[in-house]
Amino acid sequence: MFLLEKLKDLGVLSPRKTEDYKKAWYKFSRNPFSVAGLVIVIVVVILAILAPYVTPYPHHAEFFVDFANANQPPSLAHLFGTDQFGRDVLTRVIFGFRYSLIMAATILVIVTPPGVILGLIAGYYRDRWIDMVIMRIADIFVAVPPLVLALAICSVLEPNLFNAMMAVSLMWWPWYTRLVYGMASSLRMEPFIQAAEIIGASKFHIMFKEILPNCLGAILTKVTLDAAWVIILGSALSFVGLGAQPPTPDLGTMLSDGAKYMPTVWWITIFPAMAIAVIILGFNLLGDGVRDVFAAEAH
Amino acid sequence: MPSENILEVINLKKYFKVSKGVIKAVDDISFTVKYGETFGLVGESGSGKSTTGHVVVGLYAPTSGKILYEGIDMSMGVERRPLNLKKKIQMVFQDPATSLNPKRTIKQIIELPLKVHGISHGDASQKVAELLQMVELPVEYMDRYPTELGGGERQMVAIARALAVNPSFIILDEPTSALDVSIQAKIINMLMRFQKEFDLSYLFITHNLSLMRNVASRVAIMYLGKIAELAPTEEFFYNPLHPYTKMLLSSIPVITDEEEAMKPKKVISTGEIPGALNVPPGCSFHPRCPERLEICDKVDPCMLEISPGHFVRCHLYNSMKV
Amino acid sequence: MSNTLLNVEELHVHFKVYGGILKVLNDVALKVNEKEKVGLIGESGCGKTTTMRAIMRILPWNAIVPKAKIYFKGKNIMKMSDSELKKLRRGSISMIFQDPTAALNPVFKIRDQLFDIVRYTNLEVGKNLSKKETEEEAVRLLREAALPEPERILDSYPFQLSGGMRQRVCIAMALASAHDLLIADEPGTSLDVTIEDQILRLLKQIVEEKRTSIILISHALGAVKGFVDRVYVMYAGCIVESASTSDVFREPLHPYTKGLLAAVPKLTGGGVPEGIKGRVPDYMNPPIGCRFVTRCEYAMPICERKQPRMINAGNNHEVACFLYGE
Repeated sequence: MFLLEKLKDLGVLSPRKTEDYKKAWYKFSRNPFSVAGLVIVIVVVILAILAPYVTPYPHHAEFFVDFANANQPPSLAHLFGTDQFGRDVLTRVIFGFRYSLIMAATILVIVTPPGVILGLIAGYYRDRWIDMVIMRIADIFVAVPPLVLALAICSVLEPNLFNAMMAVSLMWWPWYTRLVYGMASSLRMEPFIQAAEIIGASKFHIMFKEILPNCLGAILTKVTLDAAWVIILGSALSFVGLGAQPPTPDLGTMLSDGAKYMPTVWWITIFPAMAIAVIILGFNLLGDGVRDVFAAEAH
Repeated sequence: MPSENILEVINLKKYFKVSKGVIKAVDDISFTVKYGETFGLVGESGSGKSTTGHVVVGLYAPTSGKILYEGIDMSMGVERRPLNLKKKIQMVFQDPATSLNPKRTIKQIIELPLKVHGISHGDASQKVAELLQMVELPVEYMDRYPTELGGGERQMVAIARALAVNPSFIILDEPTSALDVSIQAKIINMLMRFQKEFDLSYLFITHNLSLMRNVASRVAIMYLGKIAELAPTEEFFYNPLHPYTKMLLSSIPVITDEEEAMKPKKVISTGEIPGALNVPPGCSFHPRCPERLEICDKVDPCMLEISPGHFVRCHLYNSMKV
Repeated sequence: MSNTLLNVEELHVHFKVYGGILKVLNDVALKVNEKEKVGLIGESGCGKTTTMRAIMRILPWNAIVPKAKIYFKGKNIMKMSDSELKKLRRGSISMIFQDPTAALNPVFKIRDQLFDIVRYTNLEVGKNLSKKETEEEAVRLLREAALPEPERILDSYPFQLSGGMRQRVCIAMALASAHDLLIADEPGTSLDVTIEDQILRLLKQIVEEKRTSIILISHALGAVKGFVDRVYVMYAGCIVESASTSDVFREPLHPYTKGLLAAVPKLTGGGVPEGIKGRVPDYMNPPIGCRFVTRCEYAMPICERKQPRMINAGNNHEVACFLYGE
């Protein structure tokens, strides 16, 4: 109850906001696929958080060997079968969600704020020197294919999950800069921005209070869709051995481990692959829904 | 003796460089606005009337020429104008759907000028409420977003925002052309009332001649960046001199027989405004002009004062100069 | 007495949106005779365009049509099959939109866009035109729309033409398939006054020459006045008045029409008139009775309870208002 009161004071639960949330949900729920995406993402997140409690063999997640039970096909005891060390694949897939989500969340949290701020500045000061500097630097990072840069960094530094995330972050921010740059440079010509300039509002106010709120929808949509891309990229790095290292239950690592036993012991590979597909599908559908919420009112 | 002009625009030019050349959006125009009057600027799209308004308010710095506000030189962009002068000149835009930030509430929108100019500190609700009442909007609108209001109501919010800083000069850039007639009347009457109440001077920009007839005290008509004719309103409508003015007047749709009788009959509109990049030589109107002379495609005419306060830029009147 | 070409009766259109249902069109009825020029005037959001979209059956996905009878040459459009509809749109009715820029595809030359229309409308009547014939026909249409140098226009992209020329191209396209009825939805509104004047004069000349019917939709009263034979006035999804053009402008009967005409600033001066007080009702909960009741200065108790029906006030001047009887 106290929390509820507190939230009301902060204006998060004011009647105005509640109305906004209801409207947003109405728009979101028009498309059943968006709702399906949301359900997938929520289920995956809950599974990841509660992994130690919901998995049948939590101790199988990392270091565990039971050769007697190795390479067992799917059965009631092991729904997804066991791998070459006798670990339960289902357990490891659910723990794998954790690493995928942590990777996506960390990278997007690191990347979004600087990317957005640089884009706002460059867009607002379009055709001035600061725009040139920011956008040319962004171009340089964009020009290098993400996987190649990540490969380079991880092969110079020690290959581990942290370095992989740093590498991906390094080439991901320019996409946010570009997105916001495009929006900001057209929004700054809008009469409502001109009105703020005539009044004499500060540059900070114009960038962060007038322009930024109009970009949030597109940014949030991109974040959601990018979560899927980051997960693919992270898994790819792990697959080639430059990301998370065994015995970490990362979906990419599991794929590369299992690939050696294909096609006879198919379950070690197929289930993690399907897990990746499901998360990506979830985030993509969710992203479409987020876009619908922020789409201009068409009536 | 103090000047009777609140605003003087002298030989104002605004050129835009584009990849294919130079667009002369405003090409050497001069006019004055007297204290308390409504000076009308008419023209079709591309005539430069909106650019003129934007330069006066400082959204663009002029290419050359001077803008004097109460004798003070304001020929610079708004960024470089001192804060206490910025609030003197305000603007109401054409389309309230784009001039109000869709992501900010009405309160946040009206509050901004109050905060920037230090008119109210902390919670400005009281002052915002007063401004809303002034434009006859319910105070409950504070929490709403612009998209939840009707077009007319949004324009009233925009007017409240302009009035928040007690300006003396307001540029009205087609303030009702995005609105329906039944609402237009209400907005215009409100603007006229505020003009008397707060001693405001208006630069009224519109393409609607019927509306201009009823609000302006003097009217200037622009064609391709230049003023073609400038006259007191009565003169302008009952004794139009420039062929373009006549063409425009005879093109406007009217609804009563009295109005029909007043329109100049013979001029039928032909041709279109040429692109701003290929302005015809000589008088820029000559390709469309029904009364064209030989000289017209060679020499650009000068502004002539035909009768006191009635200026026209046309070779037909070269011999009639006072 | 000329024959009825289009007869719309009891047209209701609703839209499903967040929070409920917008009851936009309410019992709209209108009639267009052969060779007749009809005007539909009303302010933005009153349902003019929705009515036309209902006639063409091009309503957006969230529209609901609870009731409608739309007869074109005696056939109910609402019950037409897809192929009949196609035939109708290709051979009988055509529409000109407000914004010619949005109506033309920016990435194709006028040639490609116009040729398709010419080809398919002719296929519909069983004529398979050769390339040369198609070109001749396209040039003829552009000439009809008073475009100079039609050959050059054909090879242009829409962005290479001015607004007025683009609208003329749209008119040419509409002419290709409008053999019976042309619907012009604010054809000059996005253009300059002098150009709007030219476009309207051209349209009038064309429909008179070709003897097609036209529905001219506009919020600009003056534009309608010099053009059409008969006017329908629409307010908040209802037709409130219909009469010959001169009657509507000389002696408007409905309080809304009176208010609307009075609100237009006059070229003869006299100051800016007062507008109509109040605002358009909310389509989600429209008044039970007359939809104008909240803004009407002559409102009577009955107006709040009952919807007025169209009554004939003499000389085919119809009005939906209790001031003139029940």
